Amino acid sequence: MGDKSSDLVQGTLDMLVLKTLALEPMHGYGITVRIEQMSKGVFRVNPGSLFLAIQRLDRDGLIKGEWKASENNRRAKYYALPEKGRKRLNNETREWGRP
Amino acid sequence: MTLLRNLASGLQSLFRREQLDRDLDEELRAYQEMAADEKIRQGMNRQDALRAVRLERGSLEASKETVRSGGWESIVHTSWQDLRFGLRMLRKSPGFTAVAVLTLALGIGANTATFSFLDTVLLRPLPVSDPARLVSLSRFSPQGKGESFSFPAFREFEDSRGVFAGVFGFAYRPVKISLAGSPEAAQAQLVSGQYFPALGVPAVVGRTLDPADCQESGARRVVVISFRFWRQHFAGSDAVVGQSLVVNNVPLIIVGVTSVGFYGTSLDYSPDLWIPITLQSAIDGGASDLTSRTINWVMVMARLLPDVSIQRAEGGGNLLYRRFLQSSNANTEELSERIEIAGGGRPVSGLRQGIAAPLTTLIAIVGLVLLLACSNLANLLLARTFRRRREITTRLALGAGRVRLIRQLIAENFLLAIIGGALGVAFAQWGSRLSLGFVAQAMGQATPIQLKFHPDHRVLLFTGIVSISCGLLFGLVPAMRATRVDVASGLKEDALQGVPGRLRLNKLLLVSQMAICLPLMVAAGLFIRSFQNATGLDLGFSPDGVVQLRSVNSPSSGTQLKNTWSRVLEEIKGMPGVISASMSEPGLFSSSTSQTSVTFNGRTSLVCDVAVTPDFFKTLRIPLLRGRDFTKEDQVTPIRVVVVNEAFARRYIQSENPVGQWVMTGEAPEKVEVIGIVKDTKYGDVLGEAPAIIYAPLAPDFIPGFRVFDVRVAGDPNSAVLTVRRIVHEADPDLPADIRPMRDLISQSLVVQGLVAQAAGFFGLLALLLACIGIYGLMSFLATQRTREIGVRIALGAEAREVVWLVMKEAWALVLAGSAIGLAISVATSRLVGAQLFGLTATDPFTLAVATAITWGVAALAAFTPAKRASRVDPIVALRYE
Repeated sequence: MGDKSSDLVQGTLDMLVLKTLALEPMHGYGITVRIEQMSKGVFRVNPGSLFLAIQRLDRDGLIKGEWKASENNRRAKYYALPEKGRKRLNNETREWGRP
Repeated sequence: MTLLRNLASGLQSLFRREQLDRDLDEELRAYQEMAADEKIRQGMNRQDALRAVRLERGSLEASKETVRSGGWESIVHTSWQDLRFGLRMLRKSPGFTAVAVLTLALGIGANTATFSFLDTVLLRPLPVSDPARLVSLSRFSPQGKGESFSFPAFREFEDSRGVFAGVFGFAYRPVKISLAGSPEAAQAQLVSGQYFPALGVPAVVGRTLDPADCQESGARRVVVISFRFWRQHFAGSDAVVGQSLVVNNVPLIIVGVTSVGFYGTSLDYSPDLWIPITLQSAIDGGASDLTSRTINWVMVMARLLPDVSIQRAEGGGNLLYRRFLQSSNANTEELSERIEIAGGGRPVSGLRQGIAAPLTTLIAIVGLVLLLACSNLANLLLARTFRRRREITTRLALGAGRVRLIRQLIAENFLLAIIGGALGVAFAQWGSRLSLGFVAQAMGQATPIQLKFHPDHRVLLFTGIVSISCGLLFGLVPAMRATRVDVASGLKEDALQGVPGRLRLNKLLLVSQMAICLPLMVAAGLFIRSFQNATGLDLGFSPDGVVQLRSVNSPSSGTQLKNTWSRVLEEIKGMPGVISASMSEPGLFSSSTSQTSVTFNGRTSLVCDVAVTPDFFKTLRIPLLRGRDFTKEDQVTPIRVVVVNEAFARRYIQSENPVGQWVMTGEAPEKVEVIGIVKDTKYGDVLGEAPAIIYAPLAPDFIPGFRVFDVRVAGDPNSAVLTVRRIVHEADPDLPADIRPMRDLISQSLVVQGLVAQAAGFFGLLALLLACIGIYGLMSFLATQRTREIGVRIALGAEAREVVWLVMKEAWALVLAGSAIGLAISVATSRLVGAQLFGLTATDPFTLAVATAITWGVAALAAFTPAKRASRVDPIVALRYE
């Protein structure tokens, strides 16, 4: 532990997860790939931090997980954005947009 | 909402941990597989792909650990782990655990017992509504303090407006009740109408007494019984209301039962019955004291008006009292009386008088005992963590976090504290029972029933806070030190080779233990010797071999009783083994006092008085210094002659020959002649000065009150008690009497001193025991540390004696240093203790010497065993030790 930089981006990572899920429900690995793509490889998201963020968002009721079969027929937990999460994302986006 | 969900999901993960673990595991595995799939798609084989993913993304376990540590529940979980681990570690070293737990339990037990005693006697408020607004009134005159008022004076307070919200008066009466034909003794409280309303005590069945019950004309013949009495005698039946109860031959109707926790307003008397105060003459079977302005017998308490301070109430009360005195033609001496109001709403107890200061000392003593126990614990923990250095270093080297390690060590200490605290409460219960048994035995009939050890929430809170803070505070330093090691050198270093600098703290702790232990031993010695002094004090008479019988008045009719008493006295005199017997009213150490006003040369004073039969001085062996004793011819009414003691003659008569002088005495003053002077005696207080006493002859037709018989017997007073009881019973089966050896009555008046001596002695020994454990533990540890050195010495030809001395020398240096500090502390605090000692100063050289000698002797013994063991080390084994 003692990984200071991951603490710094904690809030940011939450937002990135929400933003990713705003497009479509997605499993953990998918979220990682999407975030890394979006940031053009600047962010490296390791699974520890990612699932920690997911657990936190899940507990706050901002995302909702469901076990499903994946595209290549593996079982994976897909996370979707319920109304509450969407609202939060909009709010935060507005905050960010402010000068 | 969010918080609640967070809590729920945290709890869920605590209780359904396995399920959630499996979920997380599956999710992470899926994640890895997907990442690997992608790599395989790019052309890697499966094995390489998985490896690459692990390298890139971290291991499965590490990720899991990160996620797990995210929620709040992880702290609970790891703490739980720590506690279980701690329990395992403690179980692995039962010797250490036993000593540590016992040490803590003794320290905590001593504190809990003392605190609960303090709580009961001094702190706990009366179980009534808003006890903080209750006050009690007392009188102060130039002669001293009086706790009671005359009935008209009480009425003056009761009828006042604007000073108090409710004033009530009461008096205690030991009574005889008849239930189903057999007589039985009970404690009654005569109370005024406002007693129950002002205290705010409800009835569980029926009603309590109200002002209408307690009017002077036409007082109702009713009684309220206590909850305990109700359960005992009426099996808690609701049909009790309306039943008749005969109290001192007066039939009363039971109207109600008081609520369960109510025990009156005193710790010393727990009334079973509450009777309207206006029934006094019927209950006493004698004259009415309701109109007398000179007989003080009503104790007065009141509830303050809202927003009225004690000072203002006292001012108002004094105005009232002054007006009352002026209206009743009081003399100048009486007019100088003023009243004082004490608040607090705590129960009254004779035990409390003079116990506050000793109890404070005892609290300080047990505080020090606890400190001693804690420093012992710290020393044990230091030694233990030192021994576990290798384990701890290894765990640090393997990557355990220091914080987590400290948490683990603290968890162990926490467990020790909890177990020690629980055991301490058990010890306290046992200790309180012991000390309360002592009090109960010494106080005899006035057994303070309310002095029971019940560990209520305050006591438990106190114990909990004390034990946990001790465990944590004194465990933290060893834990911090243990984990502050340089891993590299710690692993290399020989685990048995001591680093001297590290042991400085241990040695310092031992010195401080001696410095605490010795003053406690000194205090124990001082209080024990003080008590011995008080017990051995010259009382002016000889109580040994005397049995005292105190009879409660239970008149069927005046003359019959008078005959009964005279007959009892005659029969006692005729008993085999009886040397002499006398009757008096009241008596010396009879738990009742009487004062009368005496006028000599125009000066009026209040002095103690006793009415006696002719053999009184002979029976108690009070030397007659001048003049003559009473004879049968003196037993007339009104009295014509008196005998006075030296203090009386010195203080009031001040003449060369007091015999033959005339003084005025009595309720309706009579002129009487002083016919004799007797030696001074104590009256009811062993430690105080002998007061001035005037002895009058007890006339046969003296108004009945309360009679005391003193019987001097040849054999054992305890066996004489039984014979006297039988005689009394045969003379009048209805006569309840309290018969005890006079020695017991005197110990009773020293109950506080005895209790303090006993407790101080016990705590002194406890301190010594704890210090011994400390010395033994540290010396064993130091000797083990030096095993190799000692082995070398023995191999080079050192003798066992020299080795013993080598270890002892180290112990002695510490013991001597500690004792020096301890003695300095004893001398420095001597002024605090000195005021509570009797017949010796707090720097009494004998006590200091004995305490030091005992402490040194025991310390030497404690250090000797480890030293002896060290000297038996086999050099070959010692050198091969690692």
